[in-house]
Amino acid sequence: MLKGKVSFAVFLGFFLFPSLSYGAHILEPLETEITSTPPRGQFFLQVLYGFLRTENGERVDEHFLPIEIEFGLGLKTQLNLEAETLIAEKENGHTEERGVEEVAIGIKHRFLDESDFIPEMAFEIEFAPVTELGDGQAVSGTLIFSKFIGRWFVVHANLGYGFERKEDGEKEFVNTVFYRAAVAFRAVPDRFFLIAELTSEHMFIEDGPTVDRVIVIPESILVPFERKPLAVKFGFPLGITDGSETPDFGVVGGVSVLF
Amino acid sequence: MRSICIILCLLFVICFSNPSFPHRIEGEITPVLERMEVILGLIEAGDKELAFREAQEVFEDFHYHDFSRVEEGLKTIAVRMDREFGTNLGKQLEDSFSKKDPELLRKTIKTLGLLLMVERFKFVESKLGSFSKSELKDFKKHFWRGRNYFTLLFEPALAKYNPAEEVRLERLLDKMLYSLEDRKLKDFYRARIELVDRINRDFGLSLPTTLLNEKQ
Repeated sequence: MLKGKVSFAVFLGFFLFPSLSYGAHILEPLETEITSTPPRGQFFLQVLYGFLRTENGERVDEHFLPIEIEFGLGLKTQLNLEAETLIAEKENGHTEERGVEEVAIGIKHRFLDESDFIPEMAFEIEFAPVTELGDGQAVSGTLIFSKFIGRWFVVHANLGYGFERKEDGEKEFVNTVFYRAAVAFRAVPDRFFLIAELTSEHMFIEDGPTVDRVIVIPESILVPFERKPLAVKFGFPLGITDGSETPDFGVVGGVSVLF
Repeated sequence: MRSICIILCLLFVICFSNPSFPHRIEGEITPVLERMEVILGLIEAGDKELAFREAQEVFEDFHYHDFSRVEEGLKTIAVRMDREFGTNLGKQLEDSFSKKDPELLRKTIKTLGLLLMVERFKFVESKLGSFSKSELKDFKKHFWRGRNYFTLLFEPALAKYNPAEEVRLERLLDKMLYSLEDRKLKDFYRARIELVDRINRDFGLSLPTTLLNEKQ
């Protein structure tokens, strides 16, 4: 009983603890990139945990942990370091694979600020020396748009191209065109967001089939503190396309913080 | 189950009782600035009576916790700003009280806040060419004291009604901070002029044209 009360007090204390920092960058949706960058000299850290289930003849469950660190270089530029760990990929309940799924470094620069009718624009270049649990490398470029629509909505959109080289016994080259879009409803301005996100990837595999992967993610972002730049995010990815590359459903949740 | 409901209700109250925003406050918040924020919040909430009662508390110079220290009240600040910037805020403040006009009180407090911010930034500007690296920390403190006026008096309304403008002004203030760190006086000055002009327009304030068309 006492333990319960202490936990409750610590929990409340944690929520009430004031801080002296800020951040709008923490409001980035789960998948879609946004044009804003962390303030100069500050870090943005996002740690998520995700679970995806795909049933296509057999049941495949993926548990993964993407971690993203960004560093503000100036008013408009940031450096990225991203790593995704595959905690376990289970086929019919048996663990098949685990390890570092991907490591990527990149740079993002915002080259146009928002005006009345024109959205903000940024460009991001990424190099991933490790993909496919160490069997591949990739480069990608993404054009990013962000725009406030009135006082209640924010829209973000990404358009990108990626090239991946895989070597697992034999060499394989994959060209990917991808787009992402997120519409955020500012339910409580700067404190609670409801977001609908769409991510779409179209992979053109050399001498192989074209793979389409379209996912919608209803999600929400909660900023629990008044003066602490920390956001709690959770979403529920739902696969739209058929095939083993698209999950049927999943859960993703985590926190992002600016420091 | 009941405890979970209580915890969820408490969390909801804590998170949303003040629909504010996660923005940066650094350094000292003066008691009068704290009261100015409360008064604006009460006017926004439509509680005219309480807003004037709060304003009355800080109208004249006052003591705040420490009885050996006298804090400047709204009237003293208005007189000082009138002298410094050629405004007519002292009379405007008294008119708002005699007419019990919350709109006039809101406008006067916002103008006072903006001028207090400009005062801080002008002080930083006056020293920008001459301070040593070791003094940078102190000047950043002055900058943040100025920026806190924006964060507490202007940003909540912008976050609610014009978020795109909020982002623009936040970035202008970031630009000023980086100009201060890099000792770029011209950039600091230009960003300050643009910031003041934008706030003046966004909130329908009537700053004297001498302040808006100021030459470096």
